Amino acid sequence: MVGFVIQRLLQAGLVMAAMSVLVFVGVYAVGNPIDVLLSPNVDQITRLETIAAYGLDRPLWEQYLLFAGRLIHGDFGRSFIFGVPVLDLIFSRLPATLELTLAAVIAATLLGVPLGMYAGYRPDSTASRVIMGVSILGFSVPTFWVGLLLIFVFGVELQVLPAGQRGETATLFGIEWSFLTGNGLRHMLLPALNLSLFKLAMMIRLARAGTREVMFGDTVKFARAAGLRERTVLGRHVLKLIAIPIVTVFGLEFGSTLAFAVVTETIFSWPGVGKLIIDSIATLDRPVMVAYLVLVAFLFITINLVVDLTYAALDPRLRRGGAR
Amino acid sequence: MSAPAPLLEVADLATYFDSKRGVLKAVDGISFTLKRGEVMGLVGESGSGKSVTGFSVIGLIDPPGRIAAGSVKLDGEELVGKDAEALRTLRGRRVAMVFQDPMMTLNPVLSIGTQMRLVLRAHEDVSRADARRRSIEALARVGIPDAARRLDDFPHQFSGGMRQRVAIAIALLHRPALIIADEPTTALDVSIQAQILAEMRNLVRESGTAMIWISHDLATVSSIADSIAVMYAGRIVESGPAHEVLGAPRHPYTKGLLESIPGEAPPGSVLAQIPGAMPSLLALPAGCAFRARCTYAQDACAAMPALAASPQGHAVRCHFPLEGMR
Repeated sequence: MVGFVIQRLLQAGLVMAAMSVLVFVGVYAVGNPIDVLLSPNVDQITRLETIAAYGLDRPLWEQYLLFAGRLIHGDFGRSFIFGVPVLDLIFSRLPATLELTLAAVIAATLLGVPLGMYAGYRPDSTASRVIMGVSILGFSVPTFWVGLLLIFVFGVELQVLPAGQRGETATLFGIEWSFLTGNGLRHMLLPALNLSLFKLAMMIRLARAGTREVMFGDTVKFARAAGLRERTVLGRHVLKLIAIPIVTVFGLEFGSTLAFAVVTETIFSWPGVGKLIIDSIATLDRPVMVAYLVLVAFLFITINLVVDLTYAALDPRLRRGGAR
Repeated sequence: MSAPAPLLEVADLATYFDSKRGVLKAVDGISFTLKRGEVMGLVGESGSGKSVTGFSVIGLIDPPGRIAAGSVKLDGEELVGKDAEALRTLRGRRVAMVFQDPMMTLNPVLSIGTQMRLVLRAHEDVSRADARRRSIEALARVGIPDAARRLDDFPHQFSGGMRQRVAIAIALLHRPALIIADEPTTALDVSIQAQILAEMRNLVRESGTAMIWISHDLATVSSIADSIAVMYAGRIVESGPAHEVLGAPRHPYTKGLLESIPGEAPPGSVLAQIPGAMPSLLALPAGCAFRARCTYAQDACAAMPALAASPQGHAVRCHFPLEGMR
């Protein structure tokens, strides 16, 4: 198991190195940040000085090596726009996105899996048809539209929930969190709901498909023949049998939402990393873009590793040296 | 002492499946009784209704299936029409079931110990330690070496024969009065088959458990069953004491089945086959369902023959039963 983890970490290093090259070259091709940084009527000398100050006059490969050299020491550089270290900038925004994403993915799973299992267990009941109808809606209605609708209904018409910003925060481990205060939770509700709808739909579908398949299997037949209660059959046998695809999707959704909650964060002016990356693209803030995308790659690799380790915990057949 | 009442009394049981193409009569009016400790072989080819019979007895017929008629009495207690919870408390405790493929029936992601504990707790309030102790006993009883250590293993860590022993141990946990074994040796190697067969014969004999041994394989049935019922297209066509049915089959179908067993034929010779295939259960012909494949069929067979029993309890559903002795 230890060997497996080490192997995966080495792979992660390689993937991140490749990612940094791709991102660096890609971002380089996007445009010249000097055009954004300086006003057009700056004289030519200042212009050249600024270019030299940011190291933009050197050839691309040299710029990359300098960047990579700093990266190894954990230095992603400074933001062109804000003038602060990029990592500080990203980590000041990350908790906001992290708590929003976790709330959305966990809520979607805790709600979606039981609903989906019920829909798979009683596929012909009215409740199941309603559940499946909701899941189709969740899949097909665009996120931004639902977000606007939520703001309109709960924020503007009913005025029961705040429709923007994080609200009050409390400090835990030196980081500001919204979920620790009632006001912050209220602020989180609408954006989290908005983010979770699609995931909820997906969890319902996954759990339903898995349950339907397993219910007809001999494992369930044998458990029932032994007189197990239906809720034991579902809660112990079926849930564990359908867990692997659910964990996979949980991990992937968590990663992609964390990285790209852009739309929801923009609509609800949630000060997370999604908004940061959009802003940095608009202002061609290269260090932020590069650092952000490399971190996203790292995030996905880490999540995949955790997912793989979870598989082994869930399914004994995947553990090494298991068969006797 | 009064005459011992039969443990299981099945009368005119009919289990139908409603499908878009019509009503599928999987089991169509079968009757049999089983005494305590008796082993009955329920024989027939695929689709003859033998497995559905087993599931009907323990009340595990899922929609679109339904028990359309008849009665199933366990210890004189009517089971047909009982509510789901009453049937559940019966299953596993008084009637247990063993299936064909233990690779499919045991849950691959739960340890054997967990699965056994779940079964114990389905009917009794047992502590974790007690569950463990009883599970180890049950595993040891079916001949699993080093049972205490193997309890935490998962199904894939056992060989095929050991897995089936585990399934049998689970079925025996509550010491049921009746075990329904649905082709329990079919998925196993021939050498393992013989072991499991002997093991089960001893287990039921020791504990006085009655058993319905469902199989398409007359050879295994002959070595374990006290009585035999042969099913064809949802009906019992011949039944009686094992030695009578096997030694002097009276229904042409039974005779055909016996003749297709390799053991009886001289080596190298072509085995006898029963021509044709079983008719669709959706469109059963009137009269004897076997008549299209029967070499003895005559016009009279267009009417359904009754199941007529001899004084020895050898019953046959045929207008022209064969005269004993092969």
